[in-house]
Amino acid sequence: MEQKSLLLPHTCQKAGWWMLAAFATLLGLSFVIKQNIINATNSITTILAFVVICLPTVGLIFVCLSKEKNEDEFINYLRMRTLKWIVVYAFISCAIKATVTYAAPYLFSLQTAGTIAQTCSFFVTNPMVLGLVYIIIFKASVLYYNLKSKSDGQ
Amino acid sequence: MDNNIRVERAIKRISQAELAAAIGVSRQTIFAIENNKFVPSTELALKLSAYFGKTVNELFWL
Repeated sequence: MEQKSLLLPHTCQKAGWWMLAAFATLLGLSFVIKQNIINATNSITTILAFVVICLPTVGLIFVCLSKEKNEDEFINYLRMRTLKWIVVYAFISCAIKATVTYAAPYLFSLQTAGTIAQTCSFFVTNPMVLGLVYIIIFKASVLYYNLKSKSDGQ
Repeated sequence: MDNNIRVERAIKRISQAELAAAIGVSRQTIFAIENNKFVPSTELALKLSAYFGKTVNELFWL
């Protein structure tokens, strides 16, 4: 009884990891250019900036939404459990953001309150953070069961 | 939900990896079922019972 899956094939996950690796490399390169260690034209800087924004976004989407090598119902269960934790994370971070944003002006100077509100916004509204948290939780649970089943295999 | 898959596997003298390959799931799935971390679907329970030649009630119970 085959169930239709909307997930991308496993190859997309490999492509996603390569994109994230390329992103890390380019991020380092753009940092070097920003420090004027290498002289780069404006067009190169613009292309780099564009690529540095696009690569992690597409890479994260590919990694998050693609199948595992051995996809089965237990992996699906782990995926659903991770999504549940992501919803909890998003709810808690939204609650903290709302509390901090409204309370910070009374507790700190306006500049500090603004910085705190900006930091909170980054962790709440940035989908890349949610994607990263998802990947960390999901991959950690898959790795955990992989290692445990290896030691308990016989 | 308890089960005696580990016992049945020991009787047949097969590893988790061999059972997983025979059923068409990952090794992690068999580990999780044996340790009551995961309740299998009806389809998987039927596959396991067919493999061991037992009824679902003999393999799984509440």
